[in-house]
Amino acid sequence: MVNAKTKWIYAVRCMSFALVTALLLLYASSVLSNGTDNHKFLFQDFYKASKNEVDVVYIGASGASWNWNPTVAFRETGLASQLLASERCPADAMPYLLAEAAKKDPALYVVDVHRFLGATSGDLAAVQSVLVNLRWSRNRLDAADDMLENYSEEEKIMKYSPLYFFHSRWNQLGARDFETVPYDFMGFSMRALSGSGIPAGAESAAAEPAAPKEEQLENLNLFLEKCRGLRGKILFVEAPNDGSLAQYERYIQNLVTQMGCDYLNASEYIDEIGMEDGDYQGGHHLTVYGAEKYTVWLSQYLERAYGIPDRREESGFREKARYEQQYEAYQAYKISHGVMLHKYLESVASPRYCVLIAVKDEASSGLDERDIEKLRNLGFIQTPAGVYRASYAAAESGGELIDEKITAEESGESVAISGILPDGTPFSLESGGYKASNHASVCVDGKEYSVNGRGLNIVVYDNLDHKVIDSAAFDTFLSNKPVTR
Amino acid sequence: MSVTSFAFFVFFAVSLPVYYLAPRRFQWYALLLFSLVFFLSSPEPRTIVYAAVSILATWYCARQFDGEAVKSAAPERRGVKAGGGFARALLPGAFSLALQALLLWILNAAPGDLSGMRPVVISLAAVLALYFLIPSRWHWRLAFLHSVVFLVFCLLRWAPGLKGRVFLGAGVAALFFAAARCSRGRGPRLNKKAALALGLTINLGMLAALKYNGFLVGNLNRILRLSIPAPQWAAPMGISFYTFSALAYLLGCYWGDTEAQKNPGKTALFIGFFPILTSGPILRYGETGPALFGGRRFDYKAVTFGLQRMLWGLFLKLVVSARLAVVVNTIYGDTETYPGFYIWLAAALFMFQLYTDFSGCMEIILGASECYGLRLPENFRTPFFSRSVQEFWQRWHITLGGWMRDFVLYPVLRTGLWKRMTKWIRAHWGKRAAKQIPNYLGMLCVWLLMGLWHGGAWKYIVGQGLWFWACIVLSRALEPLFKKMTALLRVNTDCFSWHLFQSLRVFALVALGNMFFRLDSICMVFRTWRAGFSYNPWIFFDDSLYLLGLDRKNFTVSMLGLAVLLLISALQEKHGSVRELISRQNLPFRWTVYIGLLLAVVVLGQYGPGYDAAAFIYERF
Repeated sequence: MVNAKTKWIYAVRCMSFALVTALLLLYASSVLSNGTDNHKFLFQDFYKASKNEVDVVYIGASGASWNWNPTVAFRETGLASQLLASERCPADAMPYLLAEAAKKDPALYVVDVHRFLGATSGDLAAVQSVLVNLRWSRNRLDAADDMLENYSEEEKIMKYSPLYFFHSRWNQLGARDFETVPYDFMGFSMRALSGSGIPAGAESAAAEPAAPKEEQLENLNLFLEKCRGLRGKILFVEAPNDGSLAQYERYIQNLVTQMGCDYLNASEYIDEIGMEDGDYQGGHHLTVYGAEKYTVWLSQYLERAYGIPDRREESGFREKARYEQQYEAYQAYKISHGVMLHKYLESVASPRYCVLIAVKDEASSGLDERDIEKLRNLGFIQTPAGVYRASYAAAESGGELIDEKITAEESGESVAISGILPDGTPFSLESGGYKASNHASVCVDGKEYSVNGRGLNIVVYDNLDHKVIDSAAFDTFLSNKPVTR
Repeated sequence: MSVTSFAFFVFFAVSLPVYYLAPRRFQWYALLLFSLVFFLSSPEPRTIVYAAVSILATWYCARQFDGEAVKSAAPERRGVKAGGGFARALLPGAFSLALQALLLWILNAAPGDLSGMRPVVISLAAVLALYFLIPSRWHWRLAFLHSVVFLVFCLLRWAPGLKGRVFLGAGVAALFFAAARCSRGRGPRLNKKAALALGLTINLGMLAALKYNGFLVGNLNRILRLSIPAPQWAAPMGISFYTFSALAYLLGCYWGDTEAQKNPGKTALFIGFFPILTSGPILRYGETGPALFGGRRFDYKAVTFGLQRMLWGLFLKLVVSARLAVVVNTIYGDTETYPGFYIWLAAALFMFQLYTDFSGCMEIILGASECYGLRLPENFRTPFFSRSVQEFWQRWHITLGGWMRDFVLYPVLRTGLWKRMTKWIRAHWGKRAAKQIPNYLGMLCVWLLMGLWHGGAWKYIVGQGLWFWACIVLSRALEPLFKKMTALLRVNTDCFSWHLFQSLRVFALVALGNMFFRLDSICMVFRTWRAGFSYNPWIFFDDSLYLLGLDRKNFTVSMLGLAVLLLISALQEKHGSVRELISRQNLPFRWTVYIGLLLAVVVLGQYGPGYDAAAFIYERF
């Protein structure tokens, strides 16, 4: 017979074992079940934010996390916002994301309309992205029931155990499963650094309304129903897009405006936003540069239309440091990963940075008007444009030219520049064209940074942090100007 | 419901507390109910009817051997009196009706629509009418028949879907209830031999009809040049296992070794105890029956040891076996692309796959039973340490081997025919031959049956029967010669290297026999053996092994899993129970082992979508 004391020992031991095991399994689940993207950090950011420090929650799918940059919004207008989105977010997750967003009690909910036209079944990984990251609550269970409605009994197990599906990812685990991914900035997913031209239908805001699928409408109605109980306002938005779904979006626009909600179609304002080539990534996503423009424009609009306060100078706003820190990281990442020359030059056009350029071989053939304009905006006067196989070296800081030298076309001479950067750091540049030394050198504080590739060898120096933050060679001999780092 | 499925673990997690919370005298009812639910969860729930018939036949026939009990009971005490007991006769029908009404209400089947009830009402009305028309001695038959009719009706009307499963379960329950009522009434009496013949015929007949119909009809067609189509009947899960348990019980009762069980529900629990339905073991009533029906208190050690055992079984099945299966399937699926050493690699890995699959399943079953406080017989005892083929079969699928020995070999050797044959051989060929030849022939019967047990195909009879019989007979016949050779060559037969050599020899012989088991036909086996003579040893050095369906990481996991298995087997061989060994260690070490194993199963296990973790090689036997 087991006495009472032993029974207690057994009970405590069992409970401790169960607890340790459960914690380990939860950890394994959180690591293994995030297969599709970095949403773990997006949701963590959302939950981390204090309840009274979120004014706007932007809800949607990748269209939200690629297009809205909370750090830029705060930097430009002082708007405190959070994203609540996941890659390929199922349409039927939207009402539950809204309910989750309401837990932060924001003044405004910005809802990406495009997501209502997404799939409601057939993408289990997308369902998982939402379910794994939503905190355990009644809302999560309801979301699971709704989203898994059209899936098999086995797939419905995900409601309770995502690990059942994603444990086999163990052999694909990498650093990104354990650490914050470098391209995540408060949920903003900086992954599109190269883009296409303005899509043909980008301005086709006017279209004959057409009803979406029945299940999409049902889902929209459920969403609108949930909107009724909210204290904050709702704004349905269409980010700049290719207009391929305009007829359905017009239908939704009519429906939601009849319900008394606000609707904003940003495609109607692409000139005002300043959208241009390289700002779009496919039909419904923007590049990091397009997202920056859209974010600035929309945050200004929200400030005007909804009186969202500017939190930049507000004392006691605890999140300020985080926004600023993330913005700095975002800028550094954007520069160090830039691949489009004209956008890159636009990114470094700041009083904070010094730009040092040395040409190797040939750098003029691929330069177009846009690039030349951006170089001029930086303060360079001559630029290598139109001087075939010339040697060229130049340095500027915050739009002020420090020095610039160029030789004649196909010259056998090299050029060299040396001087002092605004913070007192010495630098020296050497450039040899194809017929000269065919070499490019950029030394800062005695250290060589040049990639020494054909075309423009650019080194960016941060005047505040006193360090080189990027070194890249854009092969401007070729029209597509590939970059090497 | 497979023992590796998510559903099983939910079922187990629910059933275990229910079992221990139930009053001890009702615990066996709980087990019976769990078994019914488990059976109904199979893909073909209607197969429960076959099982029910087999159980009832076994119970009824076994009762006929219990002569004393029947003789001493006066008809009055046994229930239905002549001309009376109207209610008793109708009880099964009324019970069926009440169950159906209740279920219709619970399941809310077509509110307001009583069409589903109509056949039941009609059948009850028919019973009522018939009752007045037939003599009283037929009343028990009528009650029984009504239950059967109800069951068949359920089978045809509602077999698919959850509702059908519930109705089917109710039907089977009603049938057993009817049987229990009838057992107290005036049933027909059979003499012992007739009862045994009936029991054997029904059990073996159903086994033959459901499992071997293709084999029988195919061979009949081939011999008589006919073209009879083979019926496509679904066999209940674990039919070979529960049939053999039933036969062991029946024969035990017949020989007087076991007392017949009066309660058909208890007989049903013994034969259909749910964990054994997947892959055995084959039970003996005398060893397991009483333990099944006696209640027990919660035992911390039994439950934790049981859970540990289940975890180990899951590790073997989900981490090791499932991965090895990928490699084996790739090689055997295309032996032209994978000749030479690939073939022998597949043969070796299939041995481990088969072992980890079968013993993994067995660990889960025995572990689950242990959690209920029941110790079922072991089916494996580190078979890879065997030094002869005969010893291998004493360590591999032990309950089947024991069954064959007790119910086939010994009875065969005791028959008059064998005795006469022994006498004849002694007279003509001498004493030694008389000692050996009848024995070998008896073993031949056993091994032919062993082969047939594995499946209705000649490849099983040859590969799982004759091959091993030949190995054992040759090793016995040539034993004196081997002894002389080892003495002549001064071989030390009492050292590790010799034991290792013997174990590897057994492993190779069994692996060759198991190729018959794994490959599609005998011809295919010979073709594969021939393909095995290509020379390509570089496959072990040039990363070719990682192109067999498992990437480097997964291949490494499977090899590490095998290493752990061999380590545990070695510990088991040396120290006995490894669980006891671990339980004597300090808590941090113990927990590290348990949690490590659990995480290995959860993370490295091959389950979930895209995997067929639920399928066991021995599951359809």
